[in-house]
Amino acid sequence: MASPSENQDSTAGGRRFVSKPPDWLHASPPESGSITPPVPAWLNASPAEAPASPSAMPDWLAKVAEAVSPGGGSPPMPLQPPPRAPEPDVEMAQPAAPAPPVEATAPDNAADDLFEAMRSATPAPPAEQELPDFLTKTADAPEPVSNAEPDVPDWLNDSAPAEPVSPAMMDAPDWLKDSESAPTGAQPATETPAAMSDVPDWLTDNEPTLSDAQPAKTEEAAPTWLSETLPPPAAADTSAPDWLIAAAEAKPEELPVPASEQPLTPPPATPAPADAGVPDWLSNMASDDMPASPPPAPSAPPPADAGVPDWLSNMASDETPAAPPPVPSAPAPTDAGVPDWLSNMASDETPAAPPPAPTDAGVPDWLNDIASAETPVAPPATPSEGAIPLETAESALPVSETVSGLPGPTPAAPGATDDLLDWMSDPSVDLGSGAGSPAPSGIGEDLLGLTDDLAMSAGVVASDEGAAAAPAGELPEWLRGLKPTADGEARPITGPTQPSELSDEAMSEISDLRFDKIMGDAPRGEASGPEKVGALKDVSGAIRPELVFDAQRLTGGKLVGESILTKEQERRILLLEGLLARQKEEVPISRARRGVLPIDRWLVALLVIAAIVVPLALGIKVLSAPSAPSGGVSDAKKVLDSLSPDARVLVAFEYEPDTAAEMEPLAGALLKPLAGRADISVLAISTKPVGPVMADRVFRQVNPKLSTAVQPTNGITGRWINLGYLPGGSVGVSGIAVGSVYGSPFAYDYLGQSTEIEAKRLSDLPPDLIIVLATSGEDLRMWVEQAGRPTHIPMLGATSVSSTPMAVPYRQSQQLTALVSGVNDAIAYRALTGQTPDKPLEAVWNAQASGALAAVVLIIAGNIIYGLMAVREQQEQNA
Amino acid sequence: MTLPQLSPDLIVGALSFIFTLALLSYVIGDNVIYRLALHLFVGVAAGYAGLVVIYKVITPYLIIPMSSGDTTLAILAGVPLVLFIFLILKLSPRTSALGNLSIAYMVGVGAAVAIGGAITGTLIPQISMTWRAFPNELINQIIVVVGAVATLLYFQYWLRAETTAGAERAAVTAVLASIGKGFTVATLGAIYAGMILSGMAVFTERVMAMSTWIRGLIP
Repeated sequence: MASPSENQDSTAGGRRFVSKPPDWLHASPPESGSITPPVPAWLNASPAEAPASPSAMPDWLAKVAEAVSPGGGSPPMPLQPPPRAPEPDVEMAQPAAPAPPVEATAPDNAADDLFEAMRSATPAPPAEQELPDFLTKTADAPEPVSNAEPDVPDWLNDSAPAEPVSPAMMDAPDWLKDSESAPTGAQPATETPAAMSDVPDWLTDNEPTLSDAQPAKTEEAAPTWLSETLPPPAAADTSAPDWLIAAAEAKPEELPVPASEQPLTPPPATPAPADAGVPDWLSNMASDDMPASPPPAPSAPPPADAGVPDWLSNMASDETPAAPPPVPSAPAPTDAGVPDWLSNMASDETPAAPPPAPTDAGVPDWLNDIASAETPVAPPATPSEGAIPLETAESALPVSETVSGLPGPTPAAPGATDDLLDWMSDPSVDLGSGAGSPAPSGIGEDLLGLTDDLAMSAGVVASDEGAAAAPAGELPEWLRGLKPTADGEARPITGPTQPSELSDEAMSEISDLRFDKIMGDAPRGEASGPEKVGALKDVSGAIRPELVFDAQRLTGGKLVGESILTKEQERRILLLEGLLARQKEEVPISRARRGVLPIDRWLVALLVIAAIVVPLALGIKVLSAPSAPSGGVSDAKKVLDSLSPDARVLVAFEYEPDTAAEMEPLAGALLKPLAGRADISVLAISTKPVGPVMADRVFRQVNPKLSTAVQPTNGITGRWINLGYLPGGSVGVSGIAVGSVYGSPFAYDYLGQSTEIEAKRLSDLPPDLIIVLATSGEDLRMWVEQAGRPTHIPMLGATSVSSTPMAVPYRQSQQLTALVSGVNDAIAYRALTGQTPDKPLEAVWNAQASGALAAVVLIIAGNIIYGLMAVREQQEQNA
Repeated sequence: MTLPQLSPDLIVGALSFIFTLALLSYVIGDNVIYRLALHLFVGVAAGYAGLVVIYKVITPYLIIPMSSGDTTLAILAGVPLVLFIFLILKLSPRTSALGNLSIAYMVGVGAAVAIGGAITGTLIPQISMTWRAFPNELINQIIVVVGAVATLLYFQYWLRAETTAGAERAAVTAVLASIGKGFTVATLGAIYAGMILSGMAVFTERVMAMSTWIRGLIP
């Protein structure tokens, strides 16, 4: 048994958490000559040696002993000593064994008593039946580790420590032995029971002894666990797997050349080397993609490169149709030490084929490929060693990152990589098809089909080559179409001159995605030819844009499961439906009025004309002239009579020729008395363009002297001045009330003659009275708001009969001093002021009255007649 | 029988007679003579207005100030000239944005004058007058106030939330609105009656003028 001190990791650089195992784990050699391994003293203690006092035995132990002993008197048989425990830090399951009760013994013999109790509780099974071999067998003598058992694989034996193993551990499981003997390098000697083969290799690979074989280079930074996995470089004894040993012994010159520096060669068609230490699963994986195939084609294939991974070599073989297909790997020779499950896997996956000859035994193919990428590989039928020199691996990686004994990264096969990169970087690659399509400068620019698409026909390319392509499913279609030209350069990708051809299976899948097939409708007519635009340009059979949503066939019943309507909503719906139904109803067009003259209009017009003309022609007085003046007439007279001498009166003529027949008599009646006063100045102004004309007519009518008289020159006293047009409407009126920056608005008359008035505003003038002669109420309001309110100048309103209702409020608010309207007030004012009667004016008044009377009669009659007709129609509709 | 000498009065009279008849022909319906006379009147009115603008606006407010030699007057006269040019540019879609300045100026000034005058010249005096008349003319003022409020409410379309009978006014609002409708109808009727009377007067004057002209032709 190794001493505790020997448990220390003697290897440099190793870090192990090693502590002294407990003593009970170290069984002493049996005293008897039995084959049982030495058991601790406490386990061998006889029942007679039970502790004198029960108190010396722990209570729990006593309870166990009482519970197990049938009569309490049978002496416990000594149990076989338990196997030597592994490292304390490694939790190992204790061997399952019954726990018979153990009588209490002296404290120092408690363990022995426990052991005895446990043995006595159950009949001691034959050692060869109940207890595992490792528990029954005694370590008579440590077997030399180097002696490899016939059933133990070499790699397993190789991992055994060099130092002899204690008898107690001879039969212990490898995992147990290995962990115990790891610090000391002792290898557990096993007889390789069947169960041992179930221990995974990776577990047993964790052998500290392997670290002994580490080269000096890896002593600096390689972790212990990693270093331990390395096979000894000079493995005279195959303590480590061969592949690990081979990796450690790899030389730099044996390293494979990087793939970029060597032509692409197909990977060696060899599986893992025939190394007893290489698991079959490793070798099988390396040769999975090398199915069985006929012999290579006559054309010379690229040299097989052992360093090129299989997947890479396969791609290269696809591009080179003449490349020989890879040879399936042969199953690794069955080794006695190889677990069955590994050997079974190997036999299922790989047909019989000789594996390639690796450089070192025990190295899987993929490792071999990496290491020997440069070296020419033997014919595919010849297995080759796949071991990679250690130097090769080390030179590929920094020392600190290199795992001793393991190969470095696999450099890519130069040929395959170059071929792949060529097509990617080839600027001459034609990504488009058809005339006029600009060639993209790089790959992948025209992915949206703006120019000719990258769609290429694998079949077109393959048919040109006439070589068997790689099995379907290995390479994508777009990659499959890439094939090097005769000179080795990648053939430019050209757009398909004909619709691309998809595989039948793909076509069927695509066609199944059509909307009509999904919906079960009749298939629509095929599009004429391939697609014209888009990413699927020039591609036929691809998915066309299908109708996803057809509103015409959509019915609300299919979408709406349930609708809830309130009574009000139902009422509205019915109302709307009624309106829509009535709209659809044909409305008969009444043709009764077609071509009918407007008799009613003519009749009314005739009556009115007659009412006016007849009195005029016949001199019939319908109404006598008004004798009593109205309130407005009296007020107007008062205002005009109250004008002071040298008063200035501003008269605003806000009417046009269409209403002159009514306004001129009123204006004349108001201004006539002023014409008799020579000290009163009258200034006429208008915001209407034709207003000055109206003013001139009135001026000439009321003051005949204006036409011939010479206007006074000393100011404007006694002058009648027609100031003309005032632009701006209400703004202009406001302007003369507030003031103007352009000079006096009263400086010139309507003929352009100077008036010698320098006042710039009304307040500077100032007029004593403003008479507004307005047909509409708006004009009167404008003067009242803009001129009367700001200046507080008295204002007299003379309006037509139609605008009188609009002017009355201003009279009531005292904004107008007087208000006269129409022909009636004109006649009354003339009569009040003693003016001579105006016969024409009275005739007009008579005719106006007659006409008004006729209008009243006609309005009343019309209301009655049309009202009755409307009532009858309503009754007919209701009926 | 001697023909009357052609005098301006005769010609004018004849034209007035003809055009009067042409316009009165609308009684029988729209016709070519009516349209001809209408277009002539519109054209003459537009032409006369243009002349008035030239002589009464452009010349005294633009040409004379800019040619007066006074810088201040010239600059002041240039401002409306620039606005006028902007307004002309509104004819083109590309430069119409500049015309918005002139329109904005005109609309803004007009609105300000109108609103200020309405408030100070109509609204406040009318309210104060109504309040001053209380309680002397109580009934009259009550009628005025009720009529004014009811008329304003008639043109307000405040509706309650939807009911089973549909959206409708509140009861009080509906009553006041009906009263306002009555006042509106009465006001419009009065205005229409005045228009009829004014038309009667105009027609009478026309008839008398034609009769006078015809009598003048008769020796």
